[in-house]
Formats: sequence, structure tokens, C-alpha cells
Amino acid sequence: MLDPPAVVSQSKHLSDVLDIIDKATKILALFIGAGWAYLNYRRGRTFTRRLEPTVTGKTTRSKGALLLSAVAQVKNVGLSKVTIQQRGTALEVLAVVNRSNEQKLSLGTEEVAVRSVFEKHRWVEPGETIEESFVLPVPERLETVAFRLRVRIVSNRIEWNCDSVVEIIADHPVGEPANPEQVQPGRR
Amino acid sequence: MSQVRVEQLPEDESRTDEIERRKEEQRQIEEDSKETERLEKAKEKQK
Repeated sequence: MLDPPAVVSQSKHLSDVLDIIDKATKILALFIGAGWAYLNYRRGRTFTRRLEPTVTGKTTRSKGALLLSAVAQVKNVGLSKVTIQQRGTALEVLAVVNRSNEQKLSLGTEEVAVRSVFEKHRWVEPGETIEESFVLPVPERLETVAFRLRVRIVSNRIEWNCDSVVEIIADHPVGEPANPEQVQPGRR
Repeated sequence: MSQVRVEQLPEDESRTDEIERRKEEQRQIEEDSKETERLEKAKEKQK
């Protein structure tokens, strides 16, 4: 015949062991979960300042002058507010010039203009998009093949840069000669 | 028109200084041109 107190003691011991295993598993799961969350937080750069600047432009003509119209846009894709520091923040316009000679093909850039951008926006809220558009006259030279627009945004020792190339619009509608007098007789 | 790149970097202080210098130059040119225009108009009025 079994001794009842011995059974109770064994059962209590087993229960204690299972309880310890249960608690240890929960603590381990908590640490693994916390570690995973922290890893995702670090990798996802959730609260890191992140901006997505874009700049687009096109050329147009008015009274014989070549004008460059552009739109600079910044989207705050992070979850932190980003303060724009005006010092160093600018929109640059560069001319892409053809310096080719008979021996080799070569392209270079020349500064055309620099101007402040987003002066009225001191910061960008998370998820917010701000934009600024402008039109400015640009010099037209034979060797200029296109214009390059560059936007640089500075915030608390970080800078974001983006750029785009703007083609120069033809001084006459595409498919038509610049000078109507050059049209061959019989083609009119 | 084509988008070339977007990049996020630690701030290059020398570039910041260079951009500020050029912005100031540009501002000066614009101010000079406005002043010239103002003087031209004043001259025309005097005539």
C-alpha cells in the first residue's frame, strides 16, 4: 500500500519544477521578445530623422528669354519632427556644358545660381510634405546642353541631397525648323 | 528630366560654408541690380 504523504510530496515537487520551468520560459520569452522589438526598432530606424527630398524642373521661354521653373519638395518619412537649418540649405542651379573638342567628348558643370529654399518652413512634421516652386531666368549659351538642379537640406549635422537634370526646351516647336526660311522649296 | 539620387550624409561643413558664401554673393548681385534699376528710374524721372 502506498504512503499518501510520499505521493503528495512527489506531486508537489513536480508541480514546483513545472512552475519553475513555466516562469523561466516566460522570462526567456520576454527577453527574446524585447530583443526582437529592439532589433526591429534599431533596424527600422523608427525615430531617426529621415527626409525624402525631390526636385523637378523644366525650361520654358518668354519673350526670347530662357526660364527655369522648378519645384523642390521634401517629405518627412520618419516619425520625428525635422528642423530645417537654413545655413547650408539651398537650391543650386548648374549648367551642364559641352567642352568637347575634336579629340574627345567632355561634359562639365558651371554654377548658375544658388538660392535659399524652404525659408518659410522651419520644420517638417512626421508624414508632412512641404514644397516650394520658383522660376528664374537662366543664361542661354551654345555650349549649355542641360541644367542640373540640386537641393541640399541641412538639419542638426545631417545633410540630404538630391538632384535632377533638366533638358533645355528647343527654341522652336519640335519637328519644325527654327527658321521658316530654311524650309526647302516644294515642302510647304 | 530625371531624378538622379537622394542621399543622407553627415553634414559637410566646408560645403555649407561654400554654399553660404555663394548665397551671399547672389544676394549682393541681386541687391546691386535692384539699386541700379532704382537709379536708372530716378535718372529717367529727372529728365
